[in-house]
Amino acid sequence: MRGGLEAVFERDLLAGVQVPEGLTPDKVPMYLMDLCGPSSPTAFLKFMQKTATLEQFKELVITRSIDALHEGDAHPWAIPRVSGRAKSALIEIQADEYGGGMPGRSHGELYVILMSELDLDPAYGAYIEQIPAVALALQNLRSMFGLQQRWRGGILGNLAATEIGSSLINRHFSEGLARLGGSKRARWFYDEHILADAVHEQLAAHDMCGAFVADYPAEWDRVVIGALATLNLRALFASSVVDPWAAGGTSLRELATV
Amino acid sequence: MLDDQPPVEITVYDNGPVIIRGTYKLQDRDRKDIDPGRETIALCRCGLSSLKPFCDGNHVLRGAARSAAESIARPTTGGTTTS
Repeated sequence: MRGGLEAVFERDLLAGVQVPEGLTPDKVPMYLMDLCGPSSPTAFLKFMQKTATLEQFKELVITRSIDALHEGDAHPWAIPRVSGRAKSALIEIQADEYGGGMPGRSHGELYVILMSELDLDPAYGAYIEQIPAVALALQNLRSMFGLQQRWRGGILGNLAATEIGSSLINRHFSEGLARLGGSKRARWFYDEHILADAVHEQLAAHDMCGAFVADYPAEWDRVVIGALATLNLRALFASSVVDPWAAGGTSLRELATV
Repeated sequence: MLDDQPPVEITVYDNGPVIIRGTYKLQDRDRKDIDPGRETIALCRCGLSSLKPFCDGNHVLRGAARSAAESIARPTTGGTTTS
């Protein structure tokens, strides 16, 4: 059943996504840095930093929980599928994602702390009925790429798109939560990402993706497609949050009463 | 060490930070230790970081990477940045 649904998902996800003309494998790392790192904070980030209410901030935390509580879990699927420097870089990033093996320090566990500090239920899937579909699509993208050998380049592109520019995103979120009275403990998830992802984005773009496109030349375009597809879905996700707020409503799914 | 790995590895990234791995001591100008709270660190090279000496990713605001990719056509799909 998954295969049938996934074929439709893949077809629709990749419609219109194409590798730019003129891009060659040696230019992929700098292309990813340019593509995935905004040159100025987006309106969404500035809104979260300066304007969002506590309720809106909590909605975003809920919506991202479907991904963040399992942060990093989709990317290790690529570890046995690649070798060489790309594998080393992937492991280096992932080890950090899991707090270097220290209990309580994985990024997923830091998200549990964030949710608890905001009086939200950190049990995975607690808010599944309220989370918009596009947030689920982002998770489905990761598992689709991660579980298929032919998409090993795609999951690396997805990881690069996740890491690059992340420090800037998390700084805006941390400052927004501070503005709303969030404790240092509550902001730990965001603050950890500011420093960690400043390292990870370089490893992801250059060491991991740079090595992959060199060592697996027949699949270099998959890295780019993975990153582009991720950004497209992320833009849809941001709209799914911002548009309802602009209309004065909630970004969460509201269940009809029976 | 069997493979002659140096104790400290310093890697310079184009249009990005310097990344330090290995066993090192990070100090301020008064020789006071700075605890980075992590093993591998990225040090700011662009001067825009709000967390100096550490990189906080603010170099993207300078569009430094963009100039290196100027010759590459932008993707034809929807916007890559959220609005």
